[in-house]
Amino acid sequence: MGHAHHGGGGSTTANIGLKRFAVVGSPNSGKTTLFNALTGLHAKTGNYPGVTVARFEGRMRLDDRDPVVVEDLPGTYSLDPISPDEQIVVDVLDTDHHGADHHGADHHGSDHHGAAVDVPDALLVLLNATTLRRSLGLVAQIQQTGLPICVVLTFTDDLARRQGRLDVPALTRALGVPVVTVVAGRRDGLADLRRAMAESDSWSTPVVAPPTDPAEVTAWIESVLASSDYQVPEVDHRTRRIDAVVLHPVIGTAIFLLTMFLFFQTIFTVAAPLQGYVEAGFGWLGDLVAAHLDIPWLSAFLSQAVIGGVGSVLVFLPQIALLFVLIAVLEGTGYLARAAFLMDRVMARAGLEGRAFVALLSSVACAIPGIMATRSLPSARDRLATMMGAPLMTCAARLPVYILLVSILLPAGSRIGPFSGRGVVMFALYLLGAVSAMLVAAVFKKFTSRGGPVLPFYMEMPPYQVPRLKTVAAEVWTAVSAFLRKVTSIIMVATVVLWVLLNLPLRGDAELTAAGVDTGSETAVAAYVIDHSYAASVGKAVEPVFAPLGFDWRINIGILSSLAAREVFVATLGQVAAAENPEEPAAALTAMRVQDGPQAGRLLFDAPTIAALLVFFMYALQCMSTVGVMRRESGSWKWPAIAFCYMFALAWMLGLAARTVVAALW
Amino acid sequence: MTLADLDRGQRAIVVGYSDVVEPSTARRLFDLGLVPGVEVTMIRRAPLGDPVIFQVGDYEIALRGAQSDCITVESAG
Amino acid sequence: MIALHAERVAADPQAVRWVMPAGSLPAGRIRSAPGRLGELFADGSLSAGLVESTAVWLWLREDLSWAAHGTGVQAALREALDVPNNWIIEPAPGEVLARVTSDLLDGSVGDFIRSHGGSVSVAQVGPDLVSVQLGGACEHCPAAGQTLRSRLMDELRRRCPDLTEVDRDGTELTLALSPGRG
Repeated sequence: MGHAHHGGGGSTTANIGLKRFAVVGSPNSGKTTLFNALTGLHAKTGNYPGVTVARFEGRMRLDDRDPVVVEDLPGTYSLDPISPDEQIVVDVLDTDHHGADHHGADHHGSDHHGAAVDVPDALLVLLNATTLRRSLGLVAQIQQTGLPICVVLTFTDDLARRQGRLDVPALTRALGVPVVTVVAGRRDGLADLRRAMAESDSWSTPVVAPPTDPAEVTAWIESVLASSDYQVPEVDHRTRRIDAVVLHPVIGTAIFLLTMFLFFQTIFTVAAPLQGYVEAGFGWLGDLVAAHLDIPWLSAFLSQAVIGGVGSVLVFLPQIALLFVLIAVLEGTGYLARAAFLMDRVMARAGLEGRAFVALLSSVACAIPGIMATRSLPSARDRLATMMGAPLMTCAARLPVYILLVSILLPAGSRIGPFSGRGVVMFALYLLGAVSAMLVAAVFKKFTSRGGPVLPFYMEMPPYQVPRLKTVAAEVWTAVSAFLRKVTSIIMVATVVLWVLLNLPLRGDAELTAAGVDTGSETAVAAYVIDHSYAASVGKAVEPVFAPLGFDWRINIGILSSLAAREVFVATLGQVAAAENPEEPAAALTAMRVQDGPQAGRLLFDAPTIAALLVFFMYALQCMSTVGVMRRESGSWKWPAIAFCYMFALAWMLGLAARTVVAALW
Repeated sequence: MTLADLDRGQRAIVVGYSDVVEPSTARRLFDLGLVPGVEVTMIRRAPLGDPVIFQVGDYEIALRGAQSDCITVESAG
Repeated sequence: MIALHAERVAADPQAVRWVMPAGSLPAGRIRSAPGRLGELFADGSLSAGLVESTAVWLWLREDLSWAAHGTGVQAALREALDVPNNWIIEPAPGEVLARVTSDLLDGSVGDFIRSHGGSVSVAQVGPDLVSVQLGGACEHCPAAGQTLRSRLMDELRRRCPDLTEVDRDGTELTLALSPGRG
């Protein structure tokens, strides 16, 4: 999280001819914050061709001239690359070899422009003022490229707070290039930078290029820092003291478990009253439509397809929003790095690392921000493996399905030991999802080799900060708007299409009477229409695939429609059930029986079938949005395709296993 | 003595890397500021034993035993 | 390895100020230097050299550019700084002082003066004396003169800790380096 994104796959063809700035810096230099501040929420996210590295490009206006393009290059410590991310930076800055296709034949049909990445016109080199000794080496290397640069100093407020010191004019003289300070969160913080960017054609260059030999560079850095009166900041005492508690073996672990517990409590209890309001709201809206619209098909369309379908999903919006807020706040304070630190050993057992835990945790709200959170992992292999496992975390979209099925399976008051029966099953589903996600990620990590050197584990511990309201709000809005976009586009469309397919072809009275249907009874007509609709034909056509799991054509339609988004399953079943029993659709579901075939007469939603269905939904990849994000983050269709196939296979086999086990034990 | 051998609060000076270290690992350690002559302090260990947070120069870094084992140090002060 | 970096000299594109640790060399005019650096002086590629307490000033011959020769000079300088005893430097406190002072006045302090309508000029008035003349608006503003003078002295002392004010006459400052030092 932390990256504003806009739509999918960014095309840069519109940006040809505009002046290009590239932002370069180490991973902890505050690049993302600066990039977001410069380009607002108008950045496009895409991919570098053929690699699992996200690409951010945006526009900004400097005074009244043409807009300029700003590209946020991947974080890098130096121009001696040891990962695909760093290689990208080297390639982009390689002024000698531009125009050449340096990614070889590895294009995977990526969406935008087959052209190589454009060389920037000017560079903004971001240096964290508190780690200057380490980061000046990057400046020396970048100056070898000959591109005009402006150094941007971040965290100067932190430097001052920690009794550090830096004479910026002296640093400017010593480096021979413009040096600008930016302070995050201050209104005028960017004024100096914007002015400098407007004058990029007249940026000064050093009279003599800095040395290239590592020992000489170190001496050069010493000299520059000495003449800039650089005073190293003290240890961040505030962070040290907080970590003494938060990372304490006993207290720290307790705090962590408590945080996790609170996190999951939010999903169920905290959001419940809010959900109630949303539900009531939609119910009222549905009644209103039914009462006032005289056109029966339109009324049915609006209340069932639109309000019913979309409404049942939006009920979960408060929950999702709350989860995103929690994640954003935790990240903003710096606590998530501590969580990654605490969980690293556990994750290492699975061949992953602590930051993968954070990505998987984010997936509990929705896999989309979770997959985007994999950007924090330095290793491309880790990113991919985590991405493949993230959709298995129990996301909010599965909840309507789980809740529906569990309520059919177990009556409201049932108990297992001292706990609520339904609660236990839900917990088990969450736990199983988490464990499966870890196992799958571990397997992918083990068996995929993206080539390239082995990346060692390291993690910089950022200082604790009070999260900025604006940043938290932006992150929450990004995630929530992605969810809303999914609802209003994918779910809406799927639900409407389904509604159409379930209600076509229309049957004339003569036809109905000939089939023995009582044309006077709306219910009977509706039931017949649905049973013989286009959707039903499709559902019946795929019966051979799902019959071993005990699914009939009605469940099949539900599953097929939920390939767009899981929530559609509930809407679909709701429509089918409402056709049979408009007053009590839930009762209709419980009473449904298999219509024909060897199991005719059996209750459709009996325990083994429900078990199979729950397990199926646990494992199958039923979310076009997730597929889209995976494609964007991994750079090709190959990985989402693999994910879809393996998850379908797992879902089918484990669904069958669940059915068999439950049938034997129930 | 390696970085992995430091106790809580113990300070040391980095001497170099062991011979078995991978070039990519060596590069990353260098980038992170773990260069000969720099002072490091062991700050704390994770509850499960790994990783360990070190103060390296001006900032804190978490490293696993596998990496800190490769860095030779000598005691400071 | 000795800490070294190059800084541009505002008014003089043929000059580069090489900043080094204080006291690496005695201050004064460079007569000769060891190794490759010495050769560069001998064949005229380097037309002049001056040492102040924290930097070495080197001038390239008019037809040469730092872009082309900078790296080579840097390597030569680095090598030569390893053997400070092999340099021959004749004391020239006045010249050093004049050079340091005008450099400073080409920079931020001078900008400050000029932005208020004043002017400042530097002249070497003796083997070890430098005169700084404030003019323009400064002539008619006693208070401004005071502020400017103390700011000027502060900045100069930062670069040249041994600086003393020898005389002050209205808007003219006479400066010298303490005897027996630098």
